[in-house]
Amino acid sequence: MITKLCIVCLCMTASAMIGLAHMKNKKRRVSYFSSLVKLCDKLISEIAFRKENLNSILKEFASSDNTELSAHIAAFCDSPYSELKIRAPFLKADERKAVEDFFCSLGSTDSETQIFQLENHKRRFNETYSDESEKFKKSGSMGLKLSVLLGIAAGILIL
Amino acid sequence: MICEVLNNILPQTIASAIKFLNADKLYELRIRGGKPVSVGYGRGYYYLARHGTTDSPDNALIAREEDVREIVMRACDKSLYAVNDRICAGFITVKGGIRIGISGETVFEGNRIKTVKNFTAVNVRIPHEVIGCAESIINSLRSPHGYFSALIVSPPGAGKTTLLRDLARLSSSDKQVKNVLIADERDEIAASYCGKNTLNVGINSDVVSACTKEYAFINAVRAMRPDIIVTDELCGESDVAAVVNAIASGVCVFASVHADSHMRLADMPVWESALKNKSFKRFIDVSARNGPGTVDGIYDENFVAVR
Repeated sequence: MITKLCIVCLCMTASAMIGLAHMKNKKRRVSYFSSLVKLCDKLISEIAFRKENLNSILKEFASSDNTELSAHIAAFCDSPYSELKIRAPFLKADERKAVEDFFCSLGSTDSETQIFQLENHKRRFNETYSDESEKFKKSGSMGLKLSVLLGIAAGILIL
Repeated sequence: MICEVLNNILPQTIASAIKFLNADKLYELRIRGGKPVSVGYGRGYYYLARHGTTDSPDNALIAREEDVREIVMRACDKSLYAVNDRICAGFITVKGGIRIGISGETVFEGNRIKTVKNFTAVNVRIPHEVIGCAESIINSLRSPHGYFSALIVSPPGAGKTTLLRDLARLSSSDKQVKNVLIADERDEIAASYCGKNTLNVGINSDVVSACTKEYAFINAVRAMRPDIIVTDELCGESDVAAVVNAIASGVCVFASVHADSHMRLADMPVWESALKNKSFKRFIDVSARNGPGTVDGIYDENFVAVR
């Protein structure tokens, strides 16, 4: 009996962890794209008004950012003249390409063109952020609950 | 510092090759995409080889097409938008007063240059601070109440800016002079970087950099109340007019102009008014005859030799 109860608990724990991981991944994506939008805003305002040095804008932003974006910024600042390849398993292939294109476009043109490009990137990132944010609100916690229920169901079946 | 800056902006092959040269003799580096790299070294031009200079282009390092763009991007610290105005004017100035002339394809929007793209060549000009090089001429510029307004006349690359810088330094430490304003349009005289002057322009000098002479002469004069204004490379009516107005308002000006001698100024319509009004009381002819900074003569406002 105790063994069976332990099995049920294990199944519940495992499925809850899977649910949590899934929820965390979704939240990660929402936070990442939110940070990207904020970065675009910061770049637009700094370039438009002060034409500040790119490295200093990025480093200032990264110092207060808690997402994976700060690591990507650090990778870009380490070798800004080489093509950036980011590591982000939580992003889809086309999203990764969009972020790489974004970094590639920084600092290579006059301010008017740069701001135009940033506005375009911001629009694209904002769309993804809105979609992911919506999905997370609707199904974020539901996934966790479903996982727990599945775990209980699996445990009961085993019993 | 110059070597460190060059190391940061030049491609590795070129940066390694110039380490074999005497930095004191290197004054220019010309990099053209797909062509041999050449250097202004000592009193002549040579090609740059892997371990020094060579007379033969066949033995020279060849710059890659992408090297020129890489130099520009490194020089602007991957922030081209921050220096686009200067690129449109044909140059960027980096730390240490190194001026990088840029050629490429201009993009026009209406009547103005929007930007430059597809860079084809750069000319890296390396300044050499020569403390004391103006000591032999400064006494010829003294007036009963301070200094006469003076114009250094020379062809390109003969040491005008180096002389002007030393004139600023010397006059700035003169007890009769309280304030010197340096209108440093191209950041070459004081070579300001992040708010600090990297070259010695004297203890009582105020530097206004990266702005037009018109702005410096009108706004900075009002705000900084200089006794002397030092500025480089007057060209065009607006520059000359700004200087003439400043002199007329009682400020002494040390400036420079590209010409092979003071006599040539009479052939330039833009100088007609300044010469007629005798705005400048001293003309200093400078050439590279015996090396950069050779003073060929000093003349007064009637073009009579004073030295």
